Amino acid sequence: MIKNKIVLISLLMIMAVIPKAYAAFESTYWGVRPLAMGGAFTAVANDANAPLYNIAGIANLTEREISLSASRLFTGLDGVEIGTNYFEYTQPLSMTTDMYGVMSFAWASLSSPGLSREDTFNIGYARKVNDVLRLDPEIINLTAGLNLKYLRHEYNFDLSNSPGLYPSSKGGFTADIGVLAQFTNGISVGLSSKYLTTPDIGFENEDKVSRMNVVGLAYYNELLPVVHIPYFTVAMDAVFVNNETNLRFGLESYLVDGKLAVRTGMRQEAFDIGFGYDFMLSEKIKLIVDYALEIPLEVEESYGSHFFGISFKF
Amino acid sequence: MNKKIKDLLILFTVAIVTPVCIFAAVYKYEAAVTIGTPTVLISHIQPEQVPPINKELVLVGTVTFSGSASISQFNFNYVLQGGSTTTETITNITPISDGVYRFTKGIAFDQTSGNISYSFSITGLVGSVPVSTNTAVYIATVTAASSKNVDPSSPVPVVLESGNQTAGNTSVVFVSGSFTGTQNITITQLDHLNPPVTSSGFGGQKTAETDSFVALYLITPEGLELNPKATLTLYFGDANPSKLFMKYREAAGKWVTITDNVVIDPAMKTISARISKLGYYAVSTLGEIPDNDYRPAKRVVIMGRDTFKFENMSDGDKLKIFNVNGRKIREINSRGSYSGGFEWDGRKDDGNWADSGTYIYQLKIQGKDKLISGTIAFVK
Repeated sequence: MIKNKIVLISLLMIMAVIPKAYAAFESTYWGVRPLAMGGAFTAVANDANAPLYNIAGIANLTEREISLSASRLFTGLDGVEIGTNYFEYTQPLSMTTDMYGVMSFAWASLSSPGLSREDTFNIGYARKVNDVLRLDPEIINLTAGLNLKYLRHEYNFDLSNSPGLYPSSKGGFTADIGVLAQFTNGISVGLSSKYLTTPDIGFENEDKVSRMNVVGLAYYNELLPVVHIPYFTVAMDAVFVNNETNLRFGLESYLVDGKLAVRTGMRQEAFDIGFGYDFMLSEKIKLIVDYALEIPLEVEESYGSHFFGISFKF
Repeated sequence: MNKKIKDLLILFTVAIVTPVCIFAAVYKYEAAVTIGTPTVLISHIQPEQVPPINKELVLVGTVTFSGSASISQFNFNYVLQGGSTTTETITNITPISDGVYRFTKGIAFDQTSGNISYSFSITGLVGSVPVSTNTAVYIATVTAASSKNVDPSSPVPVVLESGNQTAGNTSVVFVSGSFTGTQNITITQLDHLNPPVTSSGFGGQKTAETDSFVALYLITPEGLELNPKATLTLYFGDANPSKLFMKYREAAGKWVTITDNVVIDPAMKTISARISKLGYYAVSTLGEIPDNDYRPAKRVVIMGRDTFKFENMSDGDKLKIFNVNGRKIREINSRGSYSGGFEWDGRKDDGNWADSGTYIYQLKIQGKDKLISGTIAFVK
């Protein structure tokens, strides 16, 4: 009965988000681990990269986490200099019980020096909602979250035909909501609706940041039957934006006693591979180093986009 | 008589009388020439043909007098097709040695076929004797083509006269064994301002490349391989010789710059190079354009206020616009209303406006191996 209720709720949420599909502020390049999995992270969302994919995922974090990453996009192309930076911090409000939930602070930036820049500032909160909905934790772990965002973009109008005519930057507030349902059989379903308020960030014309809805599906198994792949995750995201649907796929496995992560993924425009390694710096501090390489499928003559990240869990 | 006085008289006679006698003899000889039969010779090697593209006929020749002369009239008489005789006075006469004068004469014409017939005539005085002479009538055919059967074992040059005898001609000079079998080699000058439409798609498309042409030739059989290479010389007329390039049109339609032994002769108004294939050749003012000359000067464009202008792009080049996720949102393959190149107004292929943000462009230029990439920002 409860199972049916959950499935019904999930379907209703999917039905609710699918028809509302618009354009987006940049939201692809955040976090090295999600990148290596092709960006299919909405139903995974189990580390410090969660806030920009599915804020609900941070509710499952039991440690403080700091994550830093940087990238250089489309290397090898003369005249193209685009980079991203990402910083995230998650703080469980209680280290002894999860009933108070988890908060996060994140900043994501994409810039082309001398030309343009986009920044996203995030404050998020998520908690488990099994108790509210009276769901059996033996069947499902359901979390929900809210992410408040400030979006800002700026341009070097000296390079335009109208220098001095506009302020160099415009911004707006908005919010994301997310839900993550993790079933005990290893299946997870994530829903994330981003830029809910569609703020207008236009300089001269209306330019509403359009809503993006993502439905994620993932499966995790500590030892995949038959092929015996350890700590195996397969994930898929369906991104609905501007009446278009984009699919993202990702795979991950942890080898070497669960310390070495190998990942791969793809989306329509790119193919990704990556790895990560966990180091125990002390009894309570873990360092995670991640790298991802994204090979663009449509942009030619590039040596790919390179992403580096480090995270601390403590 | 004293012997000494006698010797002085003899010396005086030798020293004074002899020069006087010699002077008198010489004076008598020159005077004799003025009353002889005077001769006047007009020398001119006629052009066989005159290409109608340049529409210039510039003739040169010499006039040789057998003595000092006073020219009262030097005329040029010509008849264009369907016209009557026109007589013009030749004034461009310069002495090049004693009794020899060089003359040049240019005429303008519009006809694109038929013949131009002409002759020279002169009246004047040679000394005090009046003379009058004229040449036979020369006939030059107005044609843009010149053909010759060329045996590769003993090849002869094929020449298309420029019509300007003060400058050089267009020619192909083959090396023995350059190709197999006797070939009918034809040089045809084409109208570079209106390139002809061909089955391979050339012509009918105004591009930055074709706009840069100052002369255009077709040398057939098109595609004939030349090994060893031949020397091609192209006449480029009055174009500024300081920055000219010889271009060859490859089968795929791409114009490539010839770089093998290129020699520009400003006096002859020709450019020469070694070539390995026959086909379309042009003299162009456009060499290798630096990458930056394709990039848009304005890298930030506000929707509806302006457009991104990619300079020097030609039909057949490619412009691709990608969003920062690497997804292609727009492709442009030909010029639109902007005559200087390609233009992107910010719309996607589906006609909708692109989102505000940073975009990557990639330009594929015909003849360039590497793409030109860069970033731009479109703002609403």
